Amino acid sequence: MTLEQHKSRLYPLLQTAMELELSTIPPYLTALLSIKREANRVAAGLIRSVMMEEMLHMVLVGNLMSSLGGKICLNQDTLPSYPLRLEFEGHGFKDREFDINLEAFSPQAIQTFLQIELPTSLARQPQRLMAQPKISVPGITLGEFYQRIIGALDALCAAYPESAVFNGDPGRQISEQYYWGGGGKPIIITSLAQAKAALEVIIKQGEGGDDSIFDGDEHYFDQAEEVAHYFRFNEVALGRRYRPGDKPHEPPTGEAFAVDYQAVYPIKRNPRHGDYAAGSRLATLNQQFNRQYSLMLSQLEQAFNGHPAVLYDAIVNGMHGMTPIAQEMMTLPLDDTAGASHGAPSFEWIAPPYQQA
Amino acid sequence: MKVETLIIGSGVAAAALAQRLLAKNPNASILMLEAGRKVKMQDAAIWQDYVVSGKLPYTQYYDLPYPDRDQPGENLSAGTTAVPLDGSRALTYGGSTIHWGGWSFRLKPEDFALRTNTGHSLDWPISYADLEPYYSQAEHYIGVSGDSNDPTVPRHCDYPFPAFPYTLEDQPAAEAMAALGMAYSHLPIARHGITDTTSRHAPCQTTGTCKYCPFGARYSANNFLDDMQNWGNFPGLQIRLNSIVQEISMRSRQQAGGVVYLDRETGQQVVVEADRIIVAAGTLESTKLLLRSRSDHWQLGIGNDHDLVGRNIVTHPYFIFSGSAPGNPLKLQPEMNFPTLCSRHFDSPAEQAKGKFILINPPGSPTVNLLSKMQAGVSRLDMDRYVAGPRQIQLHGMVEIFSEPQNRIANIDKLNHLGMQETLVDFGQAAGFDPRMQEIQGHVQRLFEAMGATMNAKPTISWRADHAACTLRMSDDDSEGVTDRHMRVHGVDNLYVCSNATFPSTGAVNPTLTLAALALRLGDHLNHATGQP
Repeated sequence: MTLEQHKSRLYPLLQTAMELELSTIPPYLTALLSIKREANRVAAGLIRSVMMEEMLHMVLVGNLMSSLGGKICLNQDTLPSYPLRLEFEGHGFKDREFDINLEAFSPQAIQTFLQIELPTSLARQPQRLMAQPKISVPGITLGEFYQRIIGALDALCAAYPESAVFNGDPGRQISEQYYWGGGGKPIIITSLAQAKAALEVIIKQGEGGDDSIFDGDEHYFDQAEEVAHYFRFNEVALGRRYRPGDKPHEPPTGEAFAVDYQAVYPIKRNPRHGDYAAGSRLATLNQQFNRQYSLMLSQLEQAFNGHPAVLYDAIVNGMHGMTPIAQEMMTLPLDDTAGASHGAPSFEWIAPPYQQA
Repeated sequence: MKVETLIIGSGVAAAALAQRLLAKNPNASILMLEAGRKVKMQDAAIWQDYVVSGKLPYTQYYDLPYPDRDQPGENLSAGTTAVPLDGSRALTYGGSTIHWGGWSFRLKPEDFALRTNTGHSLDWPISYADLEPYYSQAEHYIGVSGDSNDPTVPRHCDYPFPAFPYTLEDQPAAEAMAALGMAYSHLPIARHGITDTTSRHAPCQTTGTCKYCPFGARYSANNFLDDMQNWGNFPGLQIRLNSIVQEISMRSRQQAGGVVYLDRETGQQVVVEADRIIVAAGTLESTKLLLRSRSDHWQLGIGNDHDLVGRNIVTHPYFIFSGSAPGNPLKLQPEMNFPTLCSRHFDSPAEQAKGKFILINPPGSPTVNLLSKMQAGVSRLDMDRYVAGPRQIQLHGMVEIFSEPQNRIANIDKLNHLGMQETLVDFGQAAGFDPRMQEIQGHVQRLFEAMGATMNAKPTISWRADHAACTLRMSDDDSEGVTDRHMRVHGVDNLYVCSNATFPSTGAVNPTLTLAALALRLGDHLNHATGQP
């Protein structure tokens, strides 16, 4: 098998990694924006910080793909659809055998987020929150999945010179010039060590270090120690911050903060565009949101595939514009009946104009 | 309504002060009253509109020009020198930081002893050494990119971001200055750079659209206030827009009790009680508010027993020298759309008595407009000829002027297009100004010659009120200054002014960094006074 053939076996793993990282953002964003202004600022800040790090993970996976010479796809076929059950090689992930929903900030949502970010070291028994997986053949865990990527990279570099493995033009990767403030800085990958460093960030920010609540990324980013995603959501679940010295298996002992699950818009779970009456304000806004979301994903695809400057368009045209639309939707009830659910963006695909035939 | 701290205004002074108070006590009760509205920032559509049409979304919140025979206008210029207000400030959420250039100079140590050194105006009641730690904090707060090895002023702490490099376009001016022994340096500018630590504020992408940054890279107080509201856990922080403060009411001569403001949305007058009040509404509005807050306790306006409130106004005359060079062999074109080279050579003790000045090498001095040439269908060959052909040269700068009591501002009993009381400006340039400009012209002439350029006869000079200051000067002596060394109004225990108005003098440089430093210092003072650690 040639190097290119070896690489082309690795690409689907990286594509799946990209989809995995992307798939967490709509649920986190939905929960975050459902929180009414001025309430739950600590919880909102924690959810937001995790979400930003998922964005960084997308950039790191994108750079890894680019460093090998592969291409990322972000389009209708790769779009996460909710309720979401991710699959890999035809199987669900062993530690993701539950539905991920677009839903309001609530104890259930936080429980799901905890499951999404559950570190391998804490997963003593299979945790099954929701329905049984459709396919009963056991899949691999997320940890095993990322280890498989690392293993494949190791094998490639054992067989071929690193310069041949990482032969993508580093100028086509996303650097700090294009990506700022989102949970750390991107790593430009031109070697096995850098590739592993990037994957390490993804694993550690998500799970924490071995037997540690901290994400261990302060060395990369020169930032204050932060607890890993699972523990940040656990802080929200328990209304209390961790502090140095706290252990993964024990509850946090730091400062308490208020969590108010009532100060939340009662948005519809897993909305679809069809839920909004034709011609209604919600339908218009949802259409607008989806158009912007899809265009942004297309721009991200271009940015990851060698045109990093397009990230500016994704940020200024897409991301900046989506939040106010979603916020307005969440203030609007679906109909006039008392207790009606409120709207929320459905995160569905609308082909950008230049892709329409 | 009752609050602990009432801040009037929402510009850099208000934002930095609130940030400092909340850093010590996240539950502090703070109400910010802003007369203006919110302008949408970092918006793709507005940005594109600006790129295509040059239209900016906040100019509607500028003062109108003075009345003349063609337009009714607003405000009144009563002196012999017109100090235009239109374009000098933005009456909006975030204040004038919404449109400023971000130039972030420190004053120099000798600026704090102007009277001692020259007999002009006043000394500051604090020294450079007193303010130096706050200058560093302010540079980090507003995010200044600058050269930490620049010896112009002493500093104990580096800039948070490295200086923007000199552009190729800076080369002729830099070479001329070097040849004439005039020191030059990187212009410190409040634009975020790339940092190792995570930041919500984007690094400058040098899009050249600084007047409406699509990323929020240049400091703008509204972005920071939005951030505090959206992501800070500050339950006691409230910001009210459309709220025009009409007067400060006094519980007694020594105690301010609160304010009355007009809610422009409801048309209602609202009374707010406050334990302490900080007026941070810019030089003009802060001064006018004290003047119109008349009561039996303060019949001439608060702090005005010595008829000092509103007097001694200064601004920076901004001069532009133009000339032309026969050719442009390097085909220099603007790169950044903001300046990167300045000279504080004449911002020195030796020049202090005559009025210090700084020089700026502006971007875009060549006036070949590539876009219009392309639109006119000019061929590539002709375009090259234009670009390499005769080139316009400019040097900009500003010069320190000194306070004089007859120069003053006051309220006019008339409302402007935003519903705020209009301003009377009574200003006349000093007799020494023209001779001083002659001297400056001599220095610039030498630079032009060294650049191989011919100077056009006279500079254009703008007296616009961007850097209006000194109307509520700090002094330990209440017969000379309206405010004390902590910017507290003399004679009132709980009323402070946080504005360029409190500067005893302005040196030759932009005031914003100094104001941010004073705001952080005031924050520490107030935290200390209320027993906060």
